[in-house]
Amino acid sequence: MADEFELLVRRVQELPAEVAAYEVRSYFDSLAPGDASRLAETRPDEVGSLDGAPAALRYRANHLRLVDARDRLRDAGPLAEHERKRLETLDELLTPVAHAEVDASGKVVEVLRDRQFLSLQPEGQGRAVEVLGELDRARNVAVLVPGMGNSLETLRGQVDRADLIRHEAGPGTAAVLWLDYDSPQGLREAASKRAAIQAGPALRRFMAGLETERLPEASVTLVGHSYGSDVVGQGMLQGVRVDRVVLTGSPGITKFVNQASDFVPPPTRLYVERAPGDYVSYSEWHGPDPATFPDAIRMATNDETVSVHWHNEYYRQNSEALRNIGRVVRGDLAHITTTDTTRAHESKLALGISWADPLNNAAAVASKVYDGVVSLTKRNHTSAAGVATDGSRPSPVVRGTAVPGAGRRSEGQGR
Amino acid sequence: MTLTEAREVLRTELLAVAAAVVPGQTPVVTHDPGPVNPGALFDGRGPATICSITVETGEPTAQPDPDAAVSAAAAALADRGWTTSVATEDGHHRVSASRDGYAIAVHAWPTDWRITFTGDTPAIG
Repeated sequence: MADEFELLVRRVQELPAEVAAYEVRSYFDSLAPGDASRLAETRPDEVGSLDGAPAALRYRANHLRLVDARDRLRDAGPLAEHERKRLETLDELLTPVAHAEVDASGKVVEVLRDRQFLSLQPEGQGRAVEVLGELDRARNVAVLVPGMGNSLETLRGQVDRADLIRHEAGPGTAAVLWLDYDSPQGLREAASKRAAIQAGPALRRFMAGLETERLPEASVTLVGHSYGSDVVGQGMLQGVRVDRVVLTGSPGITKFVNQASDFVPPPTRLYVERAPGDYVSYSEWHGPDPATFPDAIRMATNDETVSVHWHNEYYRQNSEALRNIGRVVRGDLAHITTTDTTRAHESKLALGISWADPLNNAAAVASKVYDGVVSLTKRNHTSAAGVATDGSRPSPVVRGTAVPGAGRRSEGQGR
Repeated sequence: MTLTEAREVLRTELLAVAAAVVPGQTPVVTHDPGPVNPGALFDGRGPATICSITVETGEPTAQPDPDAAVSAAAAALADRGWTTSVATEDGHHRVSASRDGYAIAVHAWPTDWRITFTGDTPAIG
């Protein structure tokens, strides 16, 4: 069995994501339950991140990996500050979480369970994919991809967001926090698309594995915030297929993507949120702002009671921004509220004078300078999707035709 | 007030309101991980300034009555000084409540016995 498993793990690395996930699931389906569990116990490093392996086995494998990482750090002797912080994080990730269940007498009781990780990298910056809810029984699945500045140490805040989305979307919803990429840790890194481009194929493999786990009738929504919206975009360009896509506070996907259908193939719809004063969206640092795409649904972020401004309030409790995300995830599309405010109008609302267009112009200059630096220092590689892998931008292409200078346009054109 | 104190206030309020809505059950705190940074500039960076808490309760042996649940929750919150509004759309019964920078949402559904109370502290620090 062990040799067969090793061969499987090696073979699927060379296969397309969907084929690989199917083969992995078929292999585990062919095993006796005891044998499958034994693999999770004895080969946690392989099973833990193996897309297509049953989620329950991956949860168990990653729990073991967490215990191992925590114990190694505990035994390592005097720890540096960052190691102490990591040890605290690992202890937190190993702390069981409470669920409200029903006992035999009909009373609501607290049940403690281990956290559910579908992937884990406890070393370095750290990565994790965590599931809230029951993935194999959910009718709605939301996969949240966070943006820059994230690591294992910031997982708690991102899990808060996933938890809010899950409750807003309602019963039968599972939320997945997908932080399985090297989130840029500073503005210089975030100016590059490298991390997003590398994450695209990883997201596709993960989503292919998810297909083997979820109910066939479940609907799946990808939600990307900030740099995470770029990761979602790269995943879609790499062939990820879901029911709905939500982008909040997006810096753009890439220069040649200026309408939803460029990266979200029908019948999947793109839903976008841009709050007043969101300087990241205004900058169009990575490409045209998805909030201006003529075929995207631009969701409202504000109502009379809760204000959502700047870049990080989209997941604010009771906000229209969060409520609209919940509506998308549960498929209540008729109740989505929309807006068509312009950048100039929004930035005026935020500070009294319009500053979004000057910011956009400054970002364009900075972007060109960055491109120049990159082209001087790196070779230009082009991926299968036609996107440069080193963070530089290819010639803009609209509907398959190269259009010099068409990548950046002022808001409202072509709408 | 410190963030630790604000967290305790929020937890107490959520548990009290949940107990008022379903008196015969003991509510469960299902999410209370501690302080986080809501993203002062970008995601995750900077000091931790808010806490989010989720509490769940319900009457598992009875037919769900989300309308009654949110009415009771809104009344209990109002009694405790919260400003509330109730909304219903496509089976989603909801209370939005605020008080002194705290925010609470109550969710109830016809398809689930669980009534969920999620809350955020104000940003402190």
